[in-house]
Amino acid sequence: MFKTLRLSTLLKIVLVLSLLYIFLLGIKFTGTSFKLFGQDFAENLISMYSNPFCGLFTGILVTSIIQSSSTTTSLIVGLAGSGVLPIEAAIPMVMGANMGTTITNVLVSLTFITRKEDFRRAFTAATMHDFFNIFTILVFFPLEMTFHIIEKSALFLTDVFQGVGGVTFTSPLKLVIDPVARGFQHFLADTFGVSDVVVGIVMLVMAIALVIFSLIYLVKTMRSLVINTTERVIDKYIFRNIFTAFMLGMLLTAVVQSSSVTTSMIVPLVAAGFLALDRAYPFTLGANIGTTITAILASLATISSDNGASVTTIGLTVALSHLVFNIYGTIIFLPLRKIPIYCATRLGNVAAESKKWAFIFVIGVFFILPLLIVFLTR
Amino acid sequence: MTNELMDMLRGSPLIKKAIELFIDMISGDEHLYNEAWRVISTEENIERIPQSFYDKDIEVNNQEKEIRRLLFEHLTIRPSHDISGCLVLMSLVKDAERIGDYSKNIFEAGVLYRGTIKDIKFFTRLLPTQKNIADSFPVLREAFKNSDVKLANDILKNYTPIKRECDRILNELFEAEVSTNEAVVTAMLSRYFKRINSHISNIASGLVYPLNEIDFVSGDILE
Repeated sequence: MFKTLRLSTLLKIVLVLSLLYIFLLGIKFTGTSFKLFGQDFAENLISMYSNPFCGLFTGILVTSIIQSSSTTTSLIVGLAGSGVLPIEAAIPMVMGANMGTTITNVLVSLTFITRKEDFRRAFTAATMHDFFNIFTILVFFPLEMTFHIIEKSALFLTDVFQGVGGVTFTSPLKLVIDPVARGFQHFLADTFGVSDVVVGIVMLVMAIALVIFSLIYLVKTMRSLVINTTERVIDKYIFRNIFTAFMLGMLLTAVVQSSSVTTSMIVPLVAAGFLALDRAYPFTLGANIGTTITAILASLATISSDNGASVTTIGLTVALSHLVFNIYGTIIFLPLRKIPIYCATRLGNVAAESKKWAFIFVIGVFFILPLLIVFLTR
Repeated sequence: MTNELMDMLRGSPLIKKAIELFIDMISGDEHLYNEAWRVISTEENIERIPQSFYDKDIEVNNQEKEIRRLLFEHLTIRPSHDISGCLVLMSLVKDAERIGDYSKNIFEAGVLYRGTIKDIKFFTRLLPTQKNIADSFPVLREAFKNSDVKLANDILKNYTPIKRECDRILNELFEAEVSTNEAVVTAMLSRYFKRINSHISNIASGLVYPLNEIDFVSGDILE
């Protein structure tokens, strides 16, 4: 039995490493494909997202649809890392992705709709994550547009990363990723004799498929690897105090690489009345920070030393801006937690009394409003 | 259902904790049941139920709440894992909690009688039934600890004889010449024994039968 368990764990670890490789390959494909679309495409993309509102709401919309901020931010990192998307355009998108991913929680809370009091608590627990993001965006979006404080902080962290030899560390990764990406690109071009744009389209489709596939199975495998530990640590730490709940949210999410999974896990606990909002809230904020690890991992595939210093670490800077945004938000809205919790409680009360408001909130905030703003600001 | 319960023990720390608590609950029930009978059948004049007895009952109730929380937490984290085992345990904790309540009722019957139960006419009729039930607790605990279907079946075999004996006592009571006080306390005790016997059998059935068949023995509902 012991040997069987060890073997299955070992196999899962090998699977995780393989999936990680596929994920990084997908990110590399993203960057390569966008480069193949040519300078005109890049200029069009930059021009379209020169309006930060467009970037912000695109981030919300796309993440709401695919329900994974890890996927969106990783693809943004891939785009930025290839030099197609500038940091100034990528940061609002990352903020939007942070907001968009909360839809999963809200959808989970809707499953409690038949029991009024459970639904009231579940919807409150889910939307306090939304309100945290709304308030953080309200504070930091204007600050970023005016003073670039997130970008500057992310650049500082990028320098620190380089300073400790992070770029050197990624060299072996590039050795196993770059030749495959280049080889595939040449294979398509030589075998089928198609243009760069067609190769780019094929590689982009493959990139998205690889990223989504690898992330789905990465989350599943990591979850199954740590499931018993998850049960133990959740039971032990989430109910203890704010700090342990926060740390648990951060570490658990960093391991399973999906804040949707971890934050959705606590919605039923709040709905059933087992977990208080003031414990669920720090857990959620911790999960927000923990989930940024995926984009940071993705950025490892984008670091290159052959394009000059200004381009090499741009993907990493974008990934770190995701981390900085959540850290700043936590610094302000963890002490001021009463504000988002109050707003979520009020909304939860309204939604419990009249269910239509729950649906209006979901459709309005995650789909109609972003669609409208993206359309108007294009 | 045994395999599911054993899988639960192996698979999840929360379920393991829940099953340990459930076994503690059975021990708590045993304590309450034996203590209630000991006091009402030995002490001359019981004024009120001691606080320690209430505390034990509260402990059993809290264990029920804790088990529910653990099971829910487990199902939230691993929704499709051990689901039938969790639902069985969720049902069984209610039975364990009810045994605590009926044991408290036995005590209350003794307090209401204002004398020792030993002196009532039906005492010798009640005693073997009381003992049979008391003997079931350690068997039930062992059965649960080891997911032992044989032991659980032994308890289920005792279900009908004990139930019939309780009914017989009640029937004989209608014919007997006893004081109102004696009649009331005898009726109450026989009724409580019958209920406790049913709840013990319900718990045992959780080890033997699949989820939809628990609380039934050979197609008959455990009253």
